[in-house]
Amino acid sequence: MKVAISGIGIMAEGLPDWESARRVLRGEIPYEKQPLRTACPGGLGANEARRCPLPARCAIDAGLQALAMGPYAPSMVATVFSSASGDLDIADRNCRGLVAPAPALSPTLFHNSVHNAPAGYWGVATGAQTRSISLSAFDDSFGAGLLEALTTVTVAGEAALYVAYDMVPPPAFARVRTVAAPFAVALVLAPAGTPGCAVMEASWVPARVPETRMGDASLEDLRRHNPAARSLPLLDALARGGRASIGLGCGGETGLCLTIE
Amino acid sequence: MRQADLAVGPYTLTCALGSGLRAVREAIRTGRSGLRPYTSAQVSCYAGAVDGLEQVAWSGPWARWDCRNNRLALAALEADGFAQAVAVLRSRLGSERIGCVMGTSTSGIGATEAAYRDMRARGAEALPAQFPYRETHNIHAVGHFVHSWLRLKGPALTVSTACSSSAKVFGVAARLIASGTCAAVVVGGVDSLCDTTIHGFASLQLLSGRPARPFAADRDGISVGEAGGFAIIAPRGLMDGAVLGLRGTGESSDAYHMTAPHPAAAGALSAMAQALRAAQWTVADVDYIHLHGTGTPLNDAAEDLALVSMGADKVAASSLKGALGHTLGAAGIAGVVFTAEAMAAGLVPATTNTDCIDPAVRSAIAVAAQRRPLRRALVNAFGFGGSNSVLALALLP
Repeated sequence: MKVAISGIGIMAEGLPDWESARRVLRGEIPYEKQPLRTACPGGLGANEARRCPLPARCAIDAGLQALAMGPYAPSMVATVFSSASGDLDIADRNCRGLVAPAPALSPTLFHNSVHNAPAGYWGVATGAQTRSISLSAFDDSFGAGLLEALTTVTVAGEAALYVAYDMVPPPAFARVRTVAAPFAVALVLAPAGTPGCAVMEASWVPARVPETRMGDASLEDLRRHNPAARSLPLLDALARGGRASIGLGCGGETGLCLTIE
Repeated sequence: MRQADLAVGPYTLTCALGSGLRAVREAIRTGRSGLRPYTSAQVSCYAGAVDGLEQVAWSGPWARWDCRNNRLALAALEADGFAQAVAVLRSRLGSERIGCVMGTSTSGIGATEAAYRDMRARGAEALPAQFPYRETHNIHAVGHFVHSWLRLKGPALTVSTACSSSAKVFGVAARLIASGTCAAVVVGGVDSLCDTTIHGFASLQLLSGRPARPFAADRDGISVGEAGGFAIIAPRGLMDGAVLGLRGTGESSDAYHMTAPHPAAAGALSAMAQALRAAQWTVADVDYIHLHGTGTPLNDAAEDLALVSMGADKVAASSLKGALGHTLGAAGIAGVVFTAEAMAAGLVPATTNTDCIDPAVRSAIAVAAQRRPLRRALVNAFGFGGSNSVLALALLP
């Protein structure tokens, strides 16, 4: 499956946009963790802006960055959202409400608890009525979502915005789920032959492939401890330019082999 | 999306009406409802619960996977010989050539609800280290479980787009096959009753205190149900004896509101029009529309408006949410199985529990079952976040 990459977005601590991330990945500036800077996405009404949870804000920010690099408006792309664990902060608040002496759930927290909440806010914020999917493959969610985005582009011939995100779980989940730092990444994939920043060839293989790791220890730590940050070796190759091969887990005992040119 | 010549092979459904296709066929014939009174932490309503899930505790290597959602998945896999049909396919095609794409809205979050009750009783602040989050609560727990249980080695992922989840899986499967990644895909959806959804819909005032009555003048909300269903999707050439084809899929987003449907039903309309285009049909070709028909005043009015706007208001249509409840992430696969069986029987199923159609509704909602040939049908599934999915199914000649 061959596609053009026509936009990249990122939202992580110390990596607030693609330009900063590119310089960090090229070794031009050191990687330093900074507090996450997410603005509330434009296009949302006052009530929706207030209700919009952190994963959706990070996902929308990264998605808009990626589209801004290329020729596609939100109304021109299908969207694929992947997240291993969705919004555990909301699951925590809902479960606390449900086990209280007078059980109660907030209507906002309930509708924000759906795994496709970021996709829903994306639609409301951008007005895009294109098709959208939200999925999980646990720690292989980045690879599985990329496979879905790749088949969307190569089979349906449409450009696709792919956004992967995972957030730090609340303290109640600390012993059962580790995500060390928040991370959201977005890629715009377009049919091969479309102008873009790189060409990516991908093949799915029915076996675990050796995962490409990061040379920098703190970035490798980030990659290992956030499923969306499994995208870092791909981002690293895109930042450096030139030819590179990358291995990714893709759900079950399967993998994706990527070649970037 | 235009499909290659894809067949829907063996399929199954377990829901409040019972286990497997026998219960589905009987419900289509009789219009029986499986909804019963249900109480969940101070909320009283009607729900479509599956019997027998409390009676089996899992041990050994599967103990960590034990939760209501995975129990429901397993009960559904064992019905109608579905797991055996997958085993036969596995030996023919090779396990690495078969993908597994499941849909769910809440997976096994009921396990976390129970663990929070326990935390509260013990005065603890955090889930214990041995709590099997990955195998129960996580969205992909159900996809991972089904993939492992069926011993498949193709791609595995779980779609979670609220109530359109297990309709979207058909589109994912079609793309995996068309791209050459898979020879066949096991699709399905599993969603089980939990406090989060019962209380959540109650908080939005979308839960009826009586059994759901889709499109009725006095409809006042949904009844939540639980279901697990599966189907095998493969090119027709690989599916000897298949009688049903997947002719097209249509998907769209409302881009309007997190819970309320678009007032002009733009998203529903667009998804239905896309499915028709993909199938190369016009409205006149469609014999039956399996409606999402949840039973809330707004949802049913919007879906009716979509049918009227596309000139489909004379096409026989019905909703089964009064029979098995709104099975959320399993609603898409439940709709496909009911539609497939309705087509096989040549019977438009009744809109169970609805006696008197809202005079404002203009579509041809079936109140009683109608015998007629059903060769081509649409299945609608719409969800929170404005997520719409429509499937075009045809009897194979």
